[in-house]
Amino acid sequence: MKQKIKHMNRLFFMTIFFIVIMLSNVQAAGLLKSKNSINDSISMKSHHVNVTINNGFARTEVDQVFINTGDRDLEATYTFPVPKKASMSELSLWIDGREVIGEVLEKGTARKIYEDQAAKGEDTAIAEKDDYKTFNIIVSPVRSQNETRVRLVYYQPLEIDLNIGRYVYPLEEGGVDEERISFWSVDDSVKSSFKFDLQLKSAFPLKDVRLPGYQNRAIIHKAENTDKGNGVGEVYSISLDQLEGASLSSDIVLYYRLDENTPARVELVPYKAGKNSEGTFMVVVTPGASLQRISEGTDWTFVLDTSGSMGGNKIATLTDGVCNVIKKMNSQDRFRIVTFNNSARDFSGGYIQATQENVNRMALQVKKIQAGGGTALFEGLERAYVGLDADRTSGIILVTDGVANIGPSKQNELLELHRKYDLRLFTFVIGNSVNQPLLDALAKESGGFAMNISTSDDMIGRIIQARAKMRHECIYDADIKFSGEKVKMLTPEKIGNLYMGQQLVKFGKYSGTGSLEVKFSGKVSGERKVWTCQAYFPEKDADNPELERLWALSRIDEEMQVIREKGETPGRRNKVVDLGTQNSLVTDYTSMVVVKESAMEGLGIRRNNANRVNTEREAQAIKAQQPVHSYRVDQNNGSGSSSGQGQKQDSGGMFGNSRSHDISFGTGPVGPIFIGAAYWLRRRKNRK
Amino acid sequence: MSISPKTGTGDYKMAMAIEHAGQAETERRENVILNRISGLPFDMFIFIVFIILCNFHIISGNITRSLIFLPGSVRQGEWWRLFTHPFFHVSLYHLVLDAGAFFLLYSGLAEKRMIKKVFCVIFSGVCSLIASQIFSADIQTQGLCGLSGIAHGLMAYSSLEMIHQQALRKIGIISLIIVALKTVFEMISGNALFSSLHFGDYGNPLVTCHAGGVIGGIGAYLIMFINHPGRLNDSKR
Repeated sequence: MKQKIKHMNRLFFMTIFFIVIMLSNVQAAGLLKSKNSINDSISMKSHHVNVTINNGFARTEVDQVFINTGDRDLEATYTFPVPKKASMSELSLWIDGREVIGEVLEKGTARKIYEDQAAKGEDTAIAEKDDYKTFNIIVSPVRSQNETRVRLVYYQPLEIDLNIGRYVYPLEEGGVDEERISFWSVDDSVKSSFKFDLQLKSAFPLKDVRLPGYQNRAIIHKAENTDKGNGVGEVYSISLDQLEGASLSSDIVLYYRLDENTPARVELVPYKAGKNSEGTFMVVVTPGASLQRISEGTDWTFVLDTSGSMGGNKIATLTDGVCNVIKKMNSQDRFRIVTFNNSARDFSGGYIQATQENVNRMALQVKKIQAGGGTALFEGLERAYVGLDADRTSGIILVTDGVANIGPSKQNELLELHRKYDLRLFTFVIGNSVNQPLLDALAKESGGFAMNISTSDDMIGRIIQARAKMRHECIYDADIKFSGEKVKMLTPEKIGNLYMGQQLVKFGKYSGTGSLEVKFSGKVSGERKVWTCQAYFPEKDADNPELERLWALSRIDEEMQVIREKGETPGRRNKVVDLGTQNSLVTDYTSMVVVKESAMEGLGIRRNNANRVNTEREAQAIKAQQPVHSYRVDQNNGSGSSSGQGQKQDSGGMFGNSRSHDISFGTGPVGPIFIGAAYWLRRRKNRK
Repeated sequence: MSISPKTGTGDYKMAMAIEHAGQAETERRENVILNRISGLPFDMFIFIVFIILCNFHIISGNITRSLIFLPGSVRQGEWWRLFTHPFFHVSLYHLVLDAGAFFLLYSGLAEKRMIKKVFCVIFSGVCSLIASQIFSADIQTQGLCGLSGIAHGLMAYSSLEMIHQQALRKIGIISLIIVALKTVFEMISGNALFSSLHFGDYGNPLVTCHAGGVIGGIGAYLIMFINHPGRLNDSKR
């Protein structure tokens, strides 16, 4: 046991990135206006959000109306942070009272078409992606004394983490694009009605549904699922109405907690339009392996970005967050603090034992930290890696906005640094518009995990989730394989390690129909374990056409990571363009443009997205009338073993009777010696 | 084997005698068990019933978290967890250890009045829970279950009883010091003492519950001593 712990100590270094981007209240989602402009006549009249969470992914529809009270036609630019793993799939503009759905084209081509149409005074709109930061919707013209209606839709997969599902509607901006901040101001006010409606369908019982910060205002209603064939599911409706106007400055976060007895499981959601079509699927594995707790003391290094971009409320919230984490340490832990702006500095002068006295003393000093200067992220990290104790488990908490501007700052340079030290990284991103791709890549490359936090999140709850992961072993080199029917184009290609409570989500294509074996494997406590179950690919299942977009987005994300790390080449760029145009997704190289139907014909733009959207809307209309459907495939036919040979177990699915996150029960057992002492004491008393 | 009276009177009588003897033995054994059960003090009987009810999963294999103490769940109205969590155990091994220690110490208390003994159990349990809630962040996700906190409280209480008796004073002092030092060591180190000696599944130790239990046991004794200074003498009457 001791040897095993030592071995883990040598290998198991954890690096945690807390990326804190605290937003000042200046920047938010909303209408961009030039700071020098004196024209205030354009504004957002209404902003209606409709979210549906079902089958492991969310559909977010934003319907908004711009109003121009001025005496000339204007162009409106609506900007909002890129939601996590979101694929923008629809942009509709109402032209002459009719909805016209946009089509995806190569970015430059789309922009040219938009500008040509706008110059002619024709109704047009374009949706563009600004790297990892924002989606920008530009509408022209918003006619004088008139209103213009726009709708956008995006899809994103949602994962359950430690039995808690989380959806974020991002509105708060990251404030990291200094050029943009200096040029534009953002009008985040909605003059008339703001509505947020969310429908949550879960195939498993839910214990709790809440919106932090909106609990008193939101109406949460639970409906009954009437599906008798597939068992009981649950449906919740959440509504938030502000008819007198609102400010789009804070994220809206929804938590939903599954019942603690929710089993470990495999869910496979298929889509196949017909017998001769290619199928698409999403597989979600929620493992039930028993992960041992790491009980020895841990060394924590806080690496704090004190550059100018962290000024204002950011630095204050940063220091509060650091103090909160320090206070939750065990007395056998140690910590040290490294700060960096133009250069890195050992703030605490080495490791300090986390006694109450030391924690209080250091917390007072941390609160005095001021922000200023540049961002030497590379040097800060490098400094953190020096002086690690190889015999102790180590964790590094990095607080930065990820926008390095001093020293090496490219993704491949930072990746090289990590490879040198062979550390595991846990990226903990707080805020929007941060360099999430970089942090995801660092986490995945090192075998860690990525977690993001909104400023509207329950911070303590997220820290507890992160702690549970960091304090337990993980499933190393997790992977999923399929045999039987022809499965191809799996994405993401590499999964890496799975930490406590995490799910494995993979997309793929399939042809044919019939049974297949699903094999999930990974190393737990040094031992390779394999779990198998049987699943079935149907000949036709038209319920979830959105899966095609989600698959494509996963492929695009992988290609973009390669581009960020190795550079853009025509081949890589074209791959992204092809995936974006074929699957109608807004990417870094493709945009969605809306023009009049007649102009579409004239320009030879094919209505791929319009056809796709119609198919999706038909399926959604049918699903809305149907009860919750469970896509669990491993029930009563799964097996698991550590020898690699599947052996039939009695029941309970792929993971037996394990629960979805097998956090050990908190106990405090008396030992065998205690029992002996108790017996002896009793005998002595009786003898007397 | 059937014996007809016609085949032989002697054999038949012998067979019937054997059969009657067997029945009598079975009845005797059942009477012993029933006598033992009916002879159990009421409080012990209730504890045994609670333990059986809260540990069915050990037989069925369907372990559940619905009876353990989880702060979030209790806040949401699942108040029964306050009462069920000490009786719930994660495995047979865990149950034997904790329940074994509990019954050994409980039945060995010099205090004979049921209400006082139950008060000691409850007070130790409450202090154990409060200490875990204050000093252990892991209780938020792992929860708490088992009788070990109460067992440590009973150990402390037993020690104080022995200190009060001339002949057992030295043993009482030593055992109190040992149990107190044990819990202090566990609080500082964060690990259960001699945890490497365990050979079964016992969950994840939240050792702060031991310290809380000891504080509860000492507190319960002091409360009763203050109320009845000659307490032990009273209980012997």
